[in-house]
Amino acid sequence: MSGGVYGGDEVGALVFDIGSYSFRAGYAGEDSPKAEFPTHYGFIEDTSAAMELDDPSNQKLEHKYYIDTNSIKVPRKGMEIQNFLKDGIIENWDVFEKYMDYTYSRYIKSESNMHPVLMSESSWNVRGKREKLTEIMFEKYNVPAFFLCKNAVLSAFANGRATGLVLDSGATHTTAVPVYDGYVLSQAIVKSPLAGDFISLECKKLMEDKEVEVIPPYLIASKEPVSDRQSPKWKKKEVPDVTKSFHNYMLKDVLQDFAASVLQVSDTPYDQSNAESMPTIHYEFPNGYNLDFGEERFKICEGLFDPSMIKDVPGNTMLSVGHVVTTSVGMCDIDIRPSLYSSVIVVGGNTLLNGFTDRLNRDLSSKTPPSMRLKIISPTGSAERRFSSWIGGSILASLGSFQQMWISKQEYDEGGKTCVERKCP
Amino acid sequence: MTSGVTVMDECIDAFNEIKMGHQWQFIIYRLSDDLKSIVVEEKGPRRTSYDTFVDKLREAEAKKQCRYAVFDVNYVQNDMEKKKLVFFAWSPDSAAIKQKMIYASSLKALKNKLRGIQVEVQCNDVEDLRHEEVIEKCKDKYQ
Repeated sequence: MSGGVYGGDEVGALVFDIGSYSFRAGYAGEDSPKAEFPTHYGFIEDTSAAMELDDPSNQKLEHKYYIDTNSIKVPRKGMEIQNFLKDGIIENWDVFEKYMDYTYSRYIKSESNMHPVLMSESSWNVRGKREKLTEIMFEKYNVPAFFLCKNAVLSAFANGRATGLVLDSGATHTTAVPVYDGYVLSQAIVKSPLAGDFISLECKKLMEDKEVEVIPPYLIASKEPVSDRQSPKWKKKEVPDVTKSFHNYMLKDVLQDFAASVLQVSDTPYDQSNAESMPTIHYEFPNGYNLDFGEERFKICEGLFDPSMIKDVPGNTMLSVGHVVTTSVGMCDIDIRPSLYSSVIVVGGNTLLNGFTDRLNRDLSSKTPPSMRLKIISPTGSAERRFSSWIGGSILASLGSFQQMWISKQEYDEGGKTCVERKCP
Repeated sequence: MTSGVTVMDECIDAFNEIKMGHQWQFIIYRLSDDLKSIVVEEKGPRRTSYDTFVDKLREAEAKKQCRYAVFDVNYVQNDMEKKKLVFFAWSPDSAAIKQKMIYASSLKALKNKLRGIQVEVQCNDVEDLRHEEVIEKCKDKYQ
């Protein structure tokens, strides 16, 4: 084919990686994405304009959207916070286009028809949505070339493996995806809801139990230092009438910071007396209230590895992180199981919890046969672990040889959107 | 999914020499410097020891690079001498991320051209390269 124009080392392909928590975008060939912002967005329903019109066909509600960290965290009257993804797959296409428009104008600062686009997708994405995405990129954004790539495959490749089990623990779920020879074995994907959002929820329960009132920073005008466990002295800021979803989003933000600074996964199954003997960590909430956390640090994470620890959910059937891995491997052909166990690749923001991989290693060693060699691979830096699929895509799209792999505009014009199934399996 | 690199004919020729005529003990393949094609780096003469072969791979590791290789493995099972052509995907954990990405995504392209590989091993550290480990993978399970 007559390639050679786009996709070369210097041509500036773009890479988009959409995770359940954040949207990442940047130029191929760079080490980290240029932009990373939440997949949560704010919107205000503007009913006033629609009411004045008599023609019912024009009564489509015009929403005002707020995208990116700086604008969604501003308290606004009636602004709801939502996510445009569901289960890791794009659900709201209008908002997706708003995100693309925003990224092109704010971060890329260039015309979309100048740059080939490589995009990552969930391993369980469905055919209809892949075709729709291809259609939008070619028809609306007029990209010269496009490629769609499973994020688990990119993560595996970036860790030097064409075969391996990718354990991705992100915000909304923990998944185990077996990759064999560069292809996802989609019938053996296993998902569990025990991930980052679950940890935030457990933190929230803990605060309720301890009767700690968590005040998000947007409500705080000023605070004074107080000593340990003293009631906080702070002044409330006057804010407009915010929605519940906004408040919860801001609350989750505080709890995520708490989780990242305080929590620790215990090396061995949770044991009350053992955990109590561990050092405590001091944490100060945004309103100045501060105290030590001891055994709770370990107890909260334990639910990830031992779902029977989760309170208020009697007889739950959720899979622990270790079980997600073993179940997924168990669904694969017996001949490839050893090669999967010898390459368990751990990625995703939630795996940055202290001690996560050590505990996983311990749990898996006790569940795998002794003859099976077990090896857990995790990128060392936090950026590599959070952006592993973006980095993989960035390298791939910058290769000179990759230009013949892209779906070109010409191919799309001739073959239509179904070509994505053939070119990007 | 592959990265689109081309496999040079010399790679297939060298493989046929080892497959049909047992002319070499091993072949080491690498990506060309412009990262656009796969070329033969070295052909090891007959009766070169496995240790020498491993040393060659470790030289690549020292340069933070990856390699592909084929080794004609001899082993004994049930008092019978056997030979198998083993394909190695050598991607040391210490290699640069760009190397790992390119080698892993180009693997399929090379493998599709080399007809007659009997065993395939993915190696990421010295442990994976151990001779016993490799022989274990060569042995037939149902005998």
